[in-house]
Amino acid sequence: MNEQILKALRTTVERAVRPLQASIKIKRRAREELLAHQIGVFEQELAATGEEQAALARTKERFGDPAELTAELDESVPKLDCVQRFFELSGEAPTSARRAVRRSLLMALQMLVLQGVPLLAVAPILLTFQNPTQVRTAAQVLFFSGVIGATFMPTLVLCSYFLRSAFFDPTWGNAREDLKYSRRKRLAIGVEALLAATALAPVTGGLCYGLLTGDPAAALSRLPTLIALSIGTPICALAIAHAEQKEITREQVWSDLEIAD
Amino acid sequence: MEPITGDKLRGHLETMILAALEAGPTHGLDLLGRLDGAGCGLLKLKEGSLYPALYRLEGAGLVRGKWEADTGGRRGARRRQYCLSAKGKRRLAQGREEWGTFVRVIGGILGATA
Repeated sequence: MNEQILKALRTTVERAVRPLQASIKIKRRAREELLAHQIGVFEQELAATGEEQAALARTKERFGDPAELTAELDESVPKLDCVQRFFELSGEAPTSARRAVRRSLLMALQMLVLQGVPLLAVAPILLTFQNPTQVRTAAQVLFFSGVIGATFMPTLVLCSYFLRSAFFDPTWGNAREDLKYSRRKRLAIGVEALLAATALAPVTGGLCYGLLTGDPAAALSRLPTLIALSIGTPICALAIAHAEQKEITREQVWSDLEIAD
Repeated sequence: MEPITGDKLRGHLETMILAALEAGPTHGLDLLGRLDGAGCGLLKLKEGSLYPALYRLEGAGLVRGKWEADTGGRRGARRRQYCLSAKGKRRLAQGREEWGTFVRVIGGILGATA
């Protein structure tokens, strides 16, 4: 099967799937499965007709109207898919710095929501504590997880965006010739992102600890832990960056398709 | 005889899929072949419509789906194998019973039995 035929089959699938109001997970599944089906039908028809264009036309005919299929697929989307979509708001790999910032802010919001739910759940229990130390420890745990959720994770994914762009995305900065990034500039941005990721854990961890103990210098006593985290964080950011670039490359084959008739 | 299409199939498609899966696990295209074979070539289903029905059945726990391990040369597209779940088997038995009642009642009114 040549590339043109494959593109035509993908386009038919994408016409049905792109307008679908569903999570990325559901769309991915539908794309792959419908494409596998289309390829199977095309092969059947090609064996029967021996002519590629006729086989393609028959494949489309057998598949049905993509707009009708969109409506049917819409009806098959589970109600709880909206939860998946909420979390996917910050899960999709961003394709521009603006989107990366937006994703980080969304993620911070999601983390606060996630933090708020257990907080509300345990609040009645906390109020029953008589021992001030217990209350303080519980408050510390909640505060730490809140700070990590709302600050650490969004900043980490923002760093991973710049790492991906600088080290893994060969097209980054190529949109405008006059703004095209030189290899040196990309390297500089990548190194800055790595440094930011390295500093992230000691800064957020140190600040939290200092604020909670009332003694910022006390954070230094946790130095070995903070150093360990400062090594792990950039590795983690690089792993996210690499995985996201793979995802973008995989999705591009669909997002680049022109689906208008 | 005229082909059986769209509206006439609506409401029966899901039970027919369950019945076709009774013969064993398979993927969408083969499932269509089974339906076509059992329908003596008179079932004319828009093939894309099979998948929303399968997704609904899977969502309801009536069938179980599993991706095939490899693409089998289909350029990055894996197929999904479906099989009947225990709940699906019970639903199929119930669907058969309902259909039997439907045929008896309507057949009685029309003066013709299946």
